[in-house]
Amino acid sequence: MSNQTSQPGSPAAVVFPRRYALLCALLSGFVLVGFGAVLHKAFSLQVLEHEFWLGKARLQSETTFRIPVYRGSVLDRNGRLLATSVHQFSVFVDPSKVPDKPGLARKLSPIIELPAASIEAQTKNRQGFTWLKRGISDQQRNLIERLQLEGVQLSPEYQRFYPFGSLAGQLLGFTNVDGKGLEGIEKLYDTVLDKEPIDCSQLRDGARRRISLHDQGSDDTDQAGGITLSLDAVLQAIAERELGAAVAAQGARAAEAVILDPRTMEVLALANWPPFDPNRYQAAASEDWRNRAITDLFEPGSTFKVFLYAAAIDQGTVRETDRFFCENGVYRLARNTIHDVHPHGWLTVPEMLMVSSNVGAAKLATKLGAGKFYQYIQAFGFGQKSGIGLTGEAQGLVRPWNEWRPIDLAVTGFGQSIGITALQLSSAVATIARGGVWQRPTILRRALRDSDQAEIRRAIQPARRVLKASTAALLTKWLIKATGEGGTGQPAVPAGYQVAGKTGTAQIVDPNTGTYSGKRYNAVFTGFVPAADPRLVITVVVHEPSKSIFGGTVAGPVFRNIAAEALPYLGVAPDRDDPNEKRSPTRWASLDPGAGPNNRQ
Amino acid sequence: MITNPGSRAKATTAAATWQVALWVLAVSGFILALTFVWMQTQQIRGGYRLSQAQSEYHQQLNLKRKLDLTWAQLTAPQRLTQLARAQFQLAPPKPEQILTVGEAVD
Repeated sequence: MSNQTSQPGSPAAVVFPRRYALLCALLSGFVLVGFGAVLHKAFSLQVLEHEFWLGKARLQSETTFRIPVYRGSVLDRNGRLLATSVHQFSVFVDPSKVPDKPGLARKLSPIIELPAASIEAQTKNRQGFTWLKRGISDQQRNLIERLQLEGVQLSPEYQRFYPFGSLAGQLLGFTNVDGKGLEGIEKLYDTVLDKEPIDCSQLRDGARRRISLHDQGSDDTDQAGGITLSLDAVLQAIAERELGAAVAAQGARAAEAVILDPRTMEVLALANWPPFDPNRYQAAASEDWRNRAITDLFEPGSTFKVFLYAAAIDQGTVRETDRFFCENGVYRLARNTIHDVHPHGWLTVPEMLMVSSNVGAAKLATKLGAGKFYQYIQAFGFGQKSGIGLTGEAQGLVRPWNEWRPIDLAVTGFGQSIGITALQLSSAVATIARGGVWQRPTILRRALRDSDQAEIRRAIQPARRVLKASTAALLTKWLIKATGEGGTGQPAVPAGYQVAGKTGTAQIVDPNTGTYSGKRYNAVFTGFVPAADPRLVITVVVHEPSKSIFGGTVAGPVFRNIAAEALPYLGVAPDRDDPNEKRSPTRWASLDPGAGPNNRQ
Repeated sequence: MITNPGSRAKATTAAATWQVALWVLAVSGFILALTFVWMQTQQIRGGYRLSQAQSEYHQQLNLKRKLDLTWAQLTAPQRLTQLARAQFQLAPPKPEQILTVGEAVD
C-alpha cells in the first residue's frame, strides 16, 4: 500500500517516502560499485596483466613454426645445376605404437628397399622415435601413405642432390644429412649456401587451419640463393673422360687434370681419377673424396725446367744463342750422377729445353744460383697455397735455398726434391701464357644473392709481374719448339692448333728405401693452347702408369684430346695455316651431306 | 498566453532536424558496424586464401626444384656425350670440318 497522498484541487505533488529514497540510493550504489568493479577488472586485464593474457591468447590461437630454407644451389659458369636441395620425406617409426612388427617390416621392406629383418630389428628393441630411412622418393612416400601403417610417420626434410653424379665430385664435396657442408665447395662456402631457418607465426582456427592475418615477414624458403662457379661442366666431363681412358689404357693408379683460362685465371675444370659420386659419399672410401689436384704433392720432373729457363732468361744469365755441353747424357756432380734419356753433346739453350736435357738443366741451375732460382720459384707461387681457398689444399714442398747443397740446386732444375700440386703447376704455366703476370686462380664467379657478393670480392687479389713480357714471349717460342718436330711434347699437339708445353717424367721416391724408384713414375704434361693467343692452360698428371712412363706418351695424348675437343667447344677455330697439318684436297668433302661417315657431326 | 507562430514552426523544424540527424547517425552507425563485420569476415577469408596460396607456392617451388634436378640429370654432359656417340654415332668435329661463318670455302 502506498503512502502517497494528494490534495484535491492542487497540482499533483509526488512525495517519495524516505524508504523509497534509500532503496534508490542503495541500488544506485550497487550499480556504481558494479560498474567500478567491471572497470577495475577491465583495467587489470587490459593494462596491468596485458602481457600475460596476450600470451595466453596467442598460445590458443597462434602457432609458431620454423621453416627450413633451401640450401643454396651450386651452378657451373653456364648455369648448369651442379648441386641442389629438394624437399624429400624421411620415414620414422614409433615402435610402441606398432601392433604387428613383423607385418610392418614385411610391408615396408620392398618399398624402402631395406631388408625386412633390419626393419624388424629396428622396431623390436627400441622404444620411441626411430628413423627407418631418410630421403625417400615421392613414389615411396605415396606408397607408404597409401598403406596407412600404424606407428609409421613421414617427416619432410631437405636432401642434397648432385645431378651430374661423379662429375667434379671431389671439387663439390658433400653435406651431411642435416645439410652442413663437410667437404669441398660445400664446406668452403657453407656460410653462403646455408641459411638459418625462418621463424614464422600464424593464427590457427579451431580446426588448426592456418590463417595469414598479419605481415609475417618473408617466408621465402628459396632465399638462400647459391653460387656460380667458374667451372664448365662440359670441359670437366671431357677432362674426366680422357683421364679415365688414359688410366685404363696405361694401367695407372690415379690421374688428375686442371684446365685454366689464362685470361681470367678461372678454373674451368679440376678433374680427378678415380671419380667420386657425392650422392653416395657414405659408400665411398675417404681416399676417394680427396681432390688430388690440390692436395697431392708430386715432383714435377722436367716440367719444372720451364721455370728454371724462365728465371735464367729473365735474369740475363743466358742468351738464346748460348751453348752448353750436355756430357753425352752422363754428368757427375760430387758423388751423384745425372742422366739424360738420350745422350747429347753441345746444345743451345732452346735445344736443351726442346730435348729436355737433365744435364743441361743441372748446369743452367748451377749457373743461375740457388738464391735467384729460389726467388723465382717463390714468385711463380710454388711452396705456398695457390690462394684458391679450397679446403685441404697443400702448400707444396720447397726447402729454403740456403739449405740446398749443389746437388739439390742441380736436381731442382729438372724438378726433383720439390713437391708441387697440379694447380700450382697450372698457375705457374699460366703466368707465362699471360705474358709474365701471376694471378691467383679462382673457382668462384659470383653469388646469386647480392648480399653475398662482398664475401666473394674480398678473395680477389691484384696480379703481380714475375717475368718480363719479352722473357715470357721468348719462353713461349721455345715451348712451341718443345712440342714441335723432335720435341718431347709432340704427342700433345691437337690437329689445327699450336701448343706451347712441356713434358715431365718424374721418378717417385720409394717410401721403403727413401730413394727414387726405378719402376714408379709420374707422367706429366703442362702447357697452353693456342700458343699465340692462349685460351686454355691444361695440366695433366698420370700417377704410376704401368705401360709407358713418359710424360709425352702418357700425359701428352690426354692434353691433346682435351684440347682438341675443348677448343672447338669454346669457339676457338683451328689454325688454317697449321704447320702440323697438310691441307688435303678433300678438306671440305665431309661437309657435303652423305659424303662420309662423319657427315652427321 | 500569446504565441508566435513563426517561433513554433522554427521549434518544430529544429526538432525534426534533430530527429533526422539522429536517424542518419543511427543508420550510419549501423552501416559502419556492418562494414566492419564484413571487412573482418573478408580479412579472415583472405587469411585462409593467403595461407592456402603460400602452401601451394611452397609445393610448386619444390616441384620446380625437382623438375630442375631431373632436367639437369637428363642433360648431364656425360649422358649427352654417351647418347650422341652410342645412339647417333656422333663425334667431335675434326679441324677440317669446322668452318668459320663468312669464311670462303676452298
